[in-house]
Amino acid sequence: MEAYSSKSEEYGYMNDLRSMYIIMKYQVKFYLKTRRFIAMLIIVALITALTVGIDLYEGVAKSTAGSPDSATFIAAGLSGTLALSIGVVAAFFGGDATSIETGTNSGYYIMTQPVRKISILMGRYFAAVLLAFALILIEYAGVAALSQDFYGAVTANIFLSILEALLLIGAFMSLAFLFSSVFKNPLIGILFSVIVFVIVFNIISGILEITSIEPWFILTYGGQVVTEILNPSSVTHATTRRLAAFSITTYQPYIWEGNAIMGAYLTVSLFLSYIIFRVKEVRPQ
Amino acid sequence: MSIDMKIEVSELSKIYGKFTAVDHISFNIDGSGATAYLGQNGAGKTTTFKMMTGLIKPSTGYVKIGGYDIIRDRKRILSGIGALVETPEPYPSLTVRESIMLVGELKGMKKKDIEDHIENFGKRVEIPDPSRKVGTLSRGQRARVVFAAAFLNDPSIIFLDEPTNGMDPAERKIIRDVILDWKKDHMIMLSSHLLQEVTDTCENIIFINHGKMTIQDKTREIERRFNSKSVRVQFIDPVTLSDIQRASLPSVEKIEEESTNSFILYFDGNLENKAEILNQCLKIGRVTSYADYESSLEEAFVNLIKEKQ
Repeated sequence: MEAYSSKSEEYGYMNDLRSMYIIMKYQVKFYLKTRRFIAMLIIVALITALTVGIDLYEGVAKSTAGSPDSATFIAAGLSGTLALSIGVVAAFFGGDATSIETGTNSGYYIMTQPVRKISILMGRYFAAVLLAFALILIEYAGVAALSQDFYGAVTANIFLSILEALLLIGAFMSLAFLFSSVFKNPLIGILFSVIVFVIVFNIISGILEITSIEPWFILTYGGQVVTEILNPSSVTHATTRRLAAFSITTYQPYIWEGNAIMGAYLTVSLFLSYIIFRVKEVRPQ
Repeated sequence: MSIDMKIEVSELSKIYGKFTAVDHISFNIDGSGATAYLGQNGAGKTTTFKMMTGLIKPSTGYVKIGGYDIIRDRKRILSGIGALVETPEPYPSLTVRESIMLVGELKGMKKKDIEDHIENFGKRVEIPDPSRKVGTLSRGQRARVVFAAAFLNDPSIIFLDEPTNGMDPAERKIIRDVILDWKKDHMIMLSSHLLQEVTDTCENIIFINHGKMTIQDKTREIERRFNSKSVRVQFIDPVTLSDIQRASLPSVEKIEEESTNSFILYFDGNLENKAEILNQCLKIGRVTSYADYESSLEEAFVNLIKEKQ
C-alpha cells in the first residue's frame, strides 16, 4: 500500500461542535446577504413602528389610563404583534433550512465535506435562531423605549419575556426546520410554514375557543406566556363568558404549561427534522 | 488527517425500487495515478461516486478508502480526500473567498493556508475575483471555484465527476493540466464523457454499462485490444479515387474521399494489414499523414456497449 503524507496531518480531526460553529458562522453571513433578511428587517421595523406609532397617537394619558404600569403597557404592545413577527421570521429563515441541501445542488458542495448532518442542521438552526432573535429584539427595543418615555421605567420582567421569546423563536424555528425537511422545494417549505404559523394555528385556536376546548397542543397558545410573564399575577387560566344560551370558556396557559408546549415543539420538531434530514438523499429538482 | 491511496469497492449495488442503478461492482485501485470511470449517460457512474463519497448508502457491498469504510468512517475519509460529485453549487450569496474558506475550515485548515490556496491554486485554475458573489458567476466560473475547493488540504485522493462539465476548451485545458500534474503523486478517479480527456489524462480505465462493470484495465491495453478499424491517409499531391482503388490494399472494404488528397480507409483492424496499407499508399504518392480516423478508445467504448447489448 502506498502511503501518502500530506500537510493535512497537522490539522487533526475536527470535532462536531467546531463543524457546527463553522456552519453557523457561514450561515449567518449567508443570511445577512440575502434579500429575505432585508425583507424581514423591514417587516419587523414596520410592525415596531406601527406599535409605537399607535401608542404615540393615542397619547400618554390614554395609554397610562388603560395600562397602569410598564409591565401591562409592554404586554399590551407586544401581545398583538410579537407572535406574528416571530412566526413570519421563523418561516422565512427556517422554511428552507434543510431542503436547500437535499433539494438543490448546494447539497453536493457541503455534503461531500467532512461534516456530519447533525452539525449542518444544528449550525443552521442556531444561525437562524440568532438572527431571528436579533430582529425580534428590535420590537422589544421599541416598546421598551416607549415605556421608559411614558412611565419613566421599564419592568425588569422584560428580560424574562425576552427569554420566553427566545424559546418561542426556537420552537417556531424547529417546526419550520421540520417542514423544510419534509418538502423538497425550498419555496414550498417557506410558504407552508407561513400558512401554518400565521393562518392555520389561528383558525384552530378560534375553533377551539368556540368549543371551549383548551388548545394546549397549539404553539401560539403556549407562546402567550411571552407576554403573560410580564405580569404573571394577572393571568387567569380559564375565563367563562355567557352569551345568551351559550357559554364560552377562553384559556390562558399557565407559565409552566406554555413553557412545556414550546419546549415540546422545539425538541420533537427538531428531532424529527434531523431524522428526516439524515435519511434523505440529495436529489436536486 | 491523511488517507492511504487505496480504494476497495466490493459487490457494490444500488437499487431504487425495481431499478438497479449499480449492479455488484467490484474493483481495486492502488497508488498514485489517474483512473477513468467511463460509461454512457445513466450507466451508474455518478451513483457509484455518490456511494464512494458517502452521499448515498449502498444496497449491497461496501467501499473502503484508505482501509476505512465509507459508512462507518465517512468524516475521517472526507477529511483526507477531495470530491466533486454531480454539479455542486456553493451558496449564491456567499463570495468566492467565503465559499472556499467554508470548505477549508470544515477540513480543519488554518485560515492562512486557505488564503494561500486561494492565492496559488486559485490563480492556477483562474478562479474569478474572490470578492465576487457566487450567484453572479457563469457556470464555468462556478465550476472552477468548486474545483479549487475540492483540492483544499492537499487531498491524497480526488474524485472528479465530469469535472469539465459546462467549461469551454480553454477552461478544460486548465483542468487537464492540473490533473496531469496532480496525478504524479496523488490518486485521481475521474468520470468523463470526453474520451479525449480520458486518453490524455488517465492511464487506467473502468468501463461501466447499465450498472455493471465490464472492464478494468490500462488505457493502452484497452486501445490495443480494440484496434482502430479506420485510417485517414493524406497525400501532399492530389490523388484520384481510382488510384486508391487500384492499389492492393489488404482487407480494405470501404474508401471515402474527403478531398483530392485525403481519404478514409476502412479495414479489418489487423495491425499487419494497417502497416501494409501504409506501404501501398507510399507507392501511390507522397504521404503527409497516416493516422487512426476514430479514437481507438472511442471505438472500444462503442464496442463494449454493443457487446453488452
